[in-house]
Order: sequence, then C-alpha cells, then structure tokens
Amino acid sequence: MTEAAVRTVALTKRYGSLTAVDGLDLEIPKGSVFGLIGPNGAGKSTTFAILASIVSPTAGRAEVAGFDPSSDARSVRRHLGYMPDVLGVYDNLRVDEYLEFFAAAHELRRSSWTGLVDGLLELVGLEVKREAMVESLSRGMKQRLALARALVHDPDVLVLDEPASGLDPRARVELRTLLGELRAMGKTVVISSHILTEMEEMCSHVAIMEAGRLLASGEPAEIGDRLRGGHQVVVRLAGGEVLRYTVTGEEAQRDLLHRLIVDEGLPVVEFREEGAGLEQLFMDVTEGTLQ
Amino acid sequence: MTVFTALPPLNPVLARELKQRMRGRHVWLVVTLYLVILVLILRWVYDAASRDSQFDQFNGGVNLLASAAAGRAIFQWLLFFMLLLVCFIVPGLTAGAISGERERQTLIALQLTLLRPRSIVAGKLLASLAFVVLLIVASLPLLTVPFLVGGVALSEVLKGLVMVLATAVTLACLTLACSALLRRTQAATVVAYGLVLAMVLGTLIVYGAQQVPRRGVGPRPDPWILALNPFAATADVVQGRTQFEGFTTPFGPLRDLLRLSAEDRFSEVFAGPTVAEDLPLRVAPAQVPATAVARAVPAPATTIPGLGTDFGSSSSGSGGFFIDSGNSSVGGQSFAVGALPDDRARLGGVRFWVVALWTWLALAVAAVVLTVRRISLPATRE
Repeated sequence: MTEAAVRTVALTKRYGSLTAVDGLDLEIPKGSVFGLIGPNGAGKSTTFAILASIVSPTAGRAEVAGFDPSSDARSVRRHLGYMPDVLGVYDNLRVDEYLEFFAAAHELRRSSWTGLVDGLLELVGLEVKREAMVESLSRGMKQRLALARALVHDPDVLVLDEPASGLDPRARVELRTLLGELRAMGKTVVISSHILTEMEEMCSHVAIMEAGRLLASGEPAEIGDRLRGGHQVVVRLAGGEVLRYTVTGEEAQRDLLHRLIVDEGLPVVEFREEGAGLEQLFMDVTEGTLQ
Repeated sequence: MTVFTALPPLNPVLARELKQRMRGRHVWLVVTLYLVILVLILRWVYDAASRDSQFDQFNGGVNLLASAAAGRAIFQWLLFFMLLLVCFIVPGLTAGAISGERERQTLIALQLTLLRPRSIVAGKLLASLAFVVLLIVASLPLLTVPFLVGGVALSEVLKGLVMVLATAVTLACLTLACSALLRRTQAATVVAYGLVLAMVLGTLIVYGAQQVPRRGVGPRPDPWILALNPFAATADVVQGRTQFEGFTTPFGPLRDLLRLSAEDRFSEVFAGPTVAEDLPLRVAPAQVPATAVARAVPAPATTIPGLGTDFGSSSSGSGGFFIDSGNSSVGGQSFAVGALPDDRARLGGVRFWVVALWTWLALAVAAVVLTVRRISLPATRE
C-alpha cells in the first residue's frame, strides 16, 4: 500500500448553517500530483485551508506528513508549502529580498539564503528578474514567484490553490513543466483547478468534490472504470456507424473484442479505446448541486 | 565573518518593514513636514519671546527669569506639537499594519511561516515606532534651543521625550489592535483616530461633565479619566512648579486643571501660604529683588544647562518655589518668590503621570494580546 502524504478522516467544516466540507475521507499518495476538482463552493479551498493549518475543522481530522494541522501547526508548516489562489506581494521589495524575507521567516540560516534564492529563481525561471521590484512583475511571473515562496523551506507537500488561474497559455505550459519537475524531485503536489483538461495532463490522481462531499477519488482511468464498469471501446465502421462496447478486465479482453469484430467481417475504419476524460468524468459524477 | 553576520538576526518583519518604509516616497515628506512645523513653532515662540520687554532689558543685558521663561515656553510648545504630531502620525503609520497585509493577500503567507504571532506583532510595532524614534531624533537639534535660552533641565527634556515615546507606543498598540480586528485599513484608520480623539478631547469632555453635579461647590472629582489623556500626563511631567511663565504655554491650563482637581486647592495656590525660609532656591539671577535672594538659603543646586533654572526637578521637602507676579518690582516687572505646598497632582496617593503611564501600559498590553490572538492560526472561525 502506498504511503499517504496527506490523509483526512471524516473531515468536516461548518460555518454556521453552511457545511463547507462534509465528512471528507481522502488519501493522497506520497510523490503524486493530486488534483482536487469541483465546482465553486465544493469545499476545495476550505479543505486546503484546513490542511495548511489556516482554519480548524469542526469535526474529523487531517494529517499532513504525519502531523495534525490543528494541534501541531508548526510541524505542518515545516513540511507544507502553500500557495493561495490570490497572490499577495509586497511593494518596494526586490524579488531576491522577497524570497530572503520568507527564508528568514522560516528560520533558515542567513548564510544559506543566497544559494537558496539562486536555486529557486532558476527553478521557476526568474533568474533575470532577481533584482526587479516585485510589483513590476507580470501576473505569470508573480505566480512563479509565489511558487518559489512556497518552496523556500523545501517542503515535502505543496498545496497549490488554483495555480493556473489567470495565466496565459505559455505560462500554463511552463507551470505544467514545473509541476513535473517538482514531482520528479519527490514532492507531493496537491492542486485545485477549474481547467479540467490541464488537470488531466498534470495529475496522477484526482478527487472530485461537490457540496463539500467527496464523490470519487483515485487515478482518472480507475475512476472511469469504476463509474462505467470498464473501458469504453469505440468502433467506427465504414459508412459512419459507431459502435460502443464496455470492456471489463485486462488488455486481452480488448484484443478478443477486436478479433470478434474482424471475424464478423464488419468494415472497421477505427477501433480505439475511449479514455475517461476528466471533463466527462466530472460531468458523470457531479450533479451541479449548489449550497 | 563580519560584525553584522555575528549579530543576532533582526526580526524578519521589522527588517522587511524598515526596508519597505524607507523606500516609500512619503517618508522624506513626512519627516520634512514634521520638522518644518516644529521649526515654525520654534520661530513663532522665539519671536514672541524676543518682543517681550523682559527678554532683553537692563541696557542690553538678559533678564534671566524672563529668558528662562522663554526657554520653558519654547520647550513646552515644541513638546506639545511633537505630541500632537505623534497623535496624528502614529495611527496613520500603524492602521494598515495587519489590515494592509490582509488587503494585499500577504497575511496568510506570513502566518504560514514559522514566525510566531507575537514576533509578527513585535515586528510591526517596532517598525512603526522606529519611524517615531526617527522623528524624535530628527527633532533633537530643535530641542537644544531651549537649552541655549535657558529654563529647561535635561531631566525635564528626557521626561518629556519619554512621555512622547510612551504615547507613541500606546497609540501604536491600540491602532495595531484596530488593524487586526477590522478587515479594512480605512475602517482601522477611522477607528484609531476616533480613539485618539476620545483620549485627547473625549476625556476632557467627560471630566467636564463630571463637574456638573458640583455646581461649582465642593471638592472636585479625581481626574481619573484624564489619566488616559497624553497631554494631561505630559503636562504633569514637564510643567514644573513655577507660576511664572512669561508666555502662555499649552500645558499650563491642563496642569492647573490637574492641580485644582486633585485636592481642589485653588484658593491655597493663589493666596500663597507663608514663605518657608529654608527652601532651596535654585535661581538667584542678579535681577531678582534683594529681598527674595536674601531669604533664600544656599542649597546644592542641580546643574543648570545654559542660563536655565531647574524648576521642574525641584521635589525636596514639603514645599518648593514658585515665582508669581504682583509682589515685588524689578525694572517695571513684578516678581515675588514664595513657597507652595506640594501641589503635584495625585491619584490615590500616586503621582498623576505615574498612574497615567500604568494605565497606558495596561491598555497597550491588552491591545497586543488581542492582536496576537487575532492573528493566531489555525482560526476556529473566519
């Protein structure tokens, strides 16, 4: 069984009569890029806020790198880097000074600051902006700087709330590459986003939430199999007719299906497995419930 | 290893705030405006003193008493405006300390570092106070003028500056609490200035209202409420015990109010009890009537800077000196030297300014505790 970097058990958060998170059970494997998907108001940001030790849960518990954010927030902060959905930057401060400030705030030794800042700026591609004033950066650059800030103390777990919002296509591609590099470094990355196609490309695991509840969780293909009872195979015949089959089990069954169709003498033009696209999965799972 | 790297690390929030503030465009403007205002006040009081017939008389000689009074007036007016400017500047500097971080969306990032809430609050407070200290240091050259003219003791200047600093600390703590409790800087600024108004004017109004049931008869109520007023407390510290000012000073009315309120000795003060013969006379300029000098017994006098007298630090025995007009005549100006009972304002047997300082300390501590609790995470509610 894979070790979990983040775990929640019956996690619940209520604000008065509103239940933002409702009995959430989640396991995020170590070293994964985990996408939390859901419509607005699904409880994603509240879940992130609990994991980051910003708010306490009403009931249930959470665990980040083995520490409880409610009772041992300091330990969690040593192991978790958090990038909120809205970027905050300080005026009248240079990029390197900005990162040095957070290095000092994380109690890192002064002698390590220069090397650390160099490494982070190289990682996020902001080396040339080292001495630029923070407020002069573009939104994409600020986003990268915020990511560098979240990485200052070399956390094991990164929680990124809507990291791709407001980014242009190029910046999104760069972000995707960057997340890949972070995963290669062994970090667990938890992200939320509304852009499902990107989540599909970035995430190894996803969880779908709606109205504070967890609807599905796991690898996208696995969720699709679970929802549809197996893989979807699309067979297009000459003349435009399309046949759809659900294949359960292994690759051998798909081969068997292929052989049977050919044996029948059907004029096959296309034979393909239809992936359980995140968008389709999302539409299949959610009901558009608002709270 | 340089000296700087060997030093213990500065509070990160303080270091960052100082860097940001000093790079801001308004810093030099505030310092310049502050000094310009003080210089204008200095010039105004000095001109008023120069026009006074006592300041330069006796064939070009200097009347020490008049000169001392002029020095005291300059000092007190400077101090008054320093206090006033601190009351204006500190809330403006501090109101955005926490709410500004919240508005810029930087507070969460700050709270999620390993900095403890008390370190964040300390950094914010010290950054605001560092600027006030800069203003005070910048105004020190102006405070040397009263020394040159005379009439002010170093201890009195120090006490006055301590009161200015204590006021700044208290207001900074209260404003910081406003900034933490209110989401918007605008709201925090309005409430903070409201608090300043309540402390400065509100306390006087409340105290005035407390007098209504007296109908001018009977003992006045203790001025407990005035312990919140920074001007009243400063007046108690710097006013000294002279009745002769020569010029109107801003702290005079407050000092009178406190003195009269404490034990309602209006008639006693102005009737003047019998002069005690063994009181130490700390000033005996040539122009003082011979009778007055003759009655004074030489006593170890404190070092007097410039041509000044040390009215403010006289505290020995049960009495002290005051100089009042109307008894003797020197060069057309009347003087008399008499003794006063110890009429310094007290509350519950404790000096008024001490009570005031303790009150401010309690307020500041409560405000800091509130601020720390407010920015502590995880929050149980939003």
